[in-house]
Amino acid sequence: MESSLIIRLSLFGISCIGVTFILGCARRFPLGFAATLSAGAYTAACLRMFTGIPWPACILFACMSGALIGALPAVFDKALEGDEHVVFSWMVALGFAEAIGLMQITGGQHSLIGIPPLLEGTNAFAHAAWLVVTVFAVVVAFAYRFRRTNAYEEACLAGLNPTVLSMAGRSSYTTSLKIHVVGGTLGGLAGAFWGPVYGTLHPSLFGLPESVVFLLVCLIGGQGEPLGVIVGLAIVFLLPPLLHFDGSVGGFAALSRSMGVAPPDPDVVVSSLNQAFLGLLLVISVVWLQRGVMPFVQRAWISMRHRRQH
Amino acid sequence: MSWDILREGLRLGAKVSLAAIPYSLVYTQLRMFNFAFGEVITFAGYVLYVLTRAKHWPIWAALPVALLLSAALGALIERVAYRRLMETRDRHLLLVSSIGVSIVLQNLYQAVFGSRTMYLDRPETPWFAVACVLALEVTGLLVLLQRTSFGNRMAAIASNRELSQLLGINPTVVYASVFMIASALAVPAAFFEMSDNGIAPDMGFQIGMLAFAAAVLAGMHSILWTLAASFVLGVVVVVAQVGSFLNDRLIWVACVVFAILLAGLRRTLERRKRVSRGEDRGVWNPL
Repeated sequence: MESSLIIRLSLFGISCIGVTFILGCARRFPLGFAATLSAGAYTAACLRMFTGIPWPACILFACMSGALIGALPAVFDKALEGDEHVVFSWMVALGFAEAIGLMQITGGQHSLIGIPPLLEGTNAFAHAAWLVVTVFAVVVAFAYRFRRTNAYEEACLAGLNPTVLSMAGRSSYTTSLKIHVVGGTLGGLAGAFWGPVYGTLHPSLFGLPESVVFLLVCLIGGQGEPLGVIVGLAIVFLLPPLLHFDGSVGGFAALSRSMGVAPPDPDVVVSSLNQAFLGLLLVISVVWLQRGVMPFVQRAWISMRHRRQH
Repeated sequence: MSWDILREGLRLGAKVSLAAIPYSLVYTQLRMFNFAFGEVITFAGYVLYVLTRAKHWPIWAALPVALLLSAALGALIERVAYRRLMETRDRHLLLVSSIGVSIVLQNLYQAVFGSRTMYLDRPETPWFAVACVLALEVTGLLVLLQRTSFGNRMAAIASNRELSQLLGINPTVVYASVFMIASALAVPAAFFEMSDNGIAPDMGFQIGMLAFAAAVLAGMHSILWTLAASFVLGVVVVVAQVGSFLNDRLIWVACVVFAILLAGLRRTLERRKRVSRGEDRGVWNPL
């Protein structure tokens, strides 16, 4: 597998772990989660470029800025009585992130270019890939550990039944805020690696489509399931190339001609069909597979073990 | 501010309100934001384009066909992506499903028509044509909502679904009808937008985001407030464009952010007022 794909999958994986916590515990749809990545990416890159702070410190600050942006929707949650406006508060967060990306210091409409790389020397990109994969593995391990803590149980209860939680003397707002901060921190962490690995940043990298992909991965994998994130990533990123949409280009060209318009470029058709397929997966996962594919994977795993024992 | 800027702002406001009113209509029934509505506008636009440019139909013949096809698409979306979720009553799932539908449709348009902008061979429509169609639409909707038994059924389901079912009203039929009406109303919005700016796969998304901002600004509960908010937003956007206060990319983001923040502020104030008076939440009110 190519290093760039490995890096992309790992960074999306780290972000999706953050999304799956918010989705699975707080029962909120982080529709603008890319805002946390944007905050983390620009914080780390600007600190490194303009102040010369070492990368580990930049990453730490990136996590903090991601946590701050992640906390915003939880604060709105309290003000907006927890209804559908909460989803839009994530869009407000996305708007703030977009504004950060369009400021003069972050390069404005033009990309922020010339970000120093994470590692120097020959084969630095491949080494960076291994570093990002290691970070992803650590985050998955942390996620499994975090799932066993009381804080996680409390957060799940806050999402399921805030009244019961308040009867137990806990504040559902604080609990929800904590889980949003954890999610935002992971988003900021993923964002921090973006600039040094790719060398450039642009506001369009962290928009609504990316947030929808995060959501899609978590919904397909199963909400609140760290392992589900890996399964979801595999389905979302590795399945479309296997479906060979390039075979249907001719059919679409004929359809275009029958409509009286010139057929678009085959590459445009294939990439559009890939995106349309992801949209279709989103609808299917929301309408028919609300628990994701993880229950099927787990059932298959148990039956396989059962068969092997006998 | 010169008269030209004000006139352009009002013109944009009228176009935005043509798209925002159906948003508001669906929200009053289902308490959901139908993000796929922007793509229904684009669909209506492409139907009009294909019929008038490729098939050489006159526009008066193409409009009713576009109306029917858009209504059919609305019914199809409701059946496939929303009906099952309406039983779960989880509005977040409905919203995510509508985003999924929006992604599918937008990319299918791109696969068939490409990403270039296509134009109708028509002069820009005069502002009074937009105003007349808007007045007709608003009057028609107000009559439908307030003077017909269907409007009563809609109001009954919006205020208490269970009780309405006990009275023999079928919510599925009402929801499907609302989606069909809202989708048919996409045609005037599409016609005026494509007459002015041409049609591209993201046309509905652009006008839809402004419409969404207007509907949120109006509180999503009233057609007349949606109308007023659309005009305010239209003028603000034109002033921002002329004065170069914001670039194109930031305008819709700023509008949505501003509308949501204002809506949040208003809800907080309303809640405090209600709490201080000891009142319950109000029910659906078409005006």
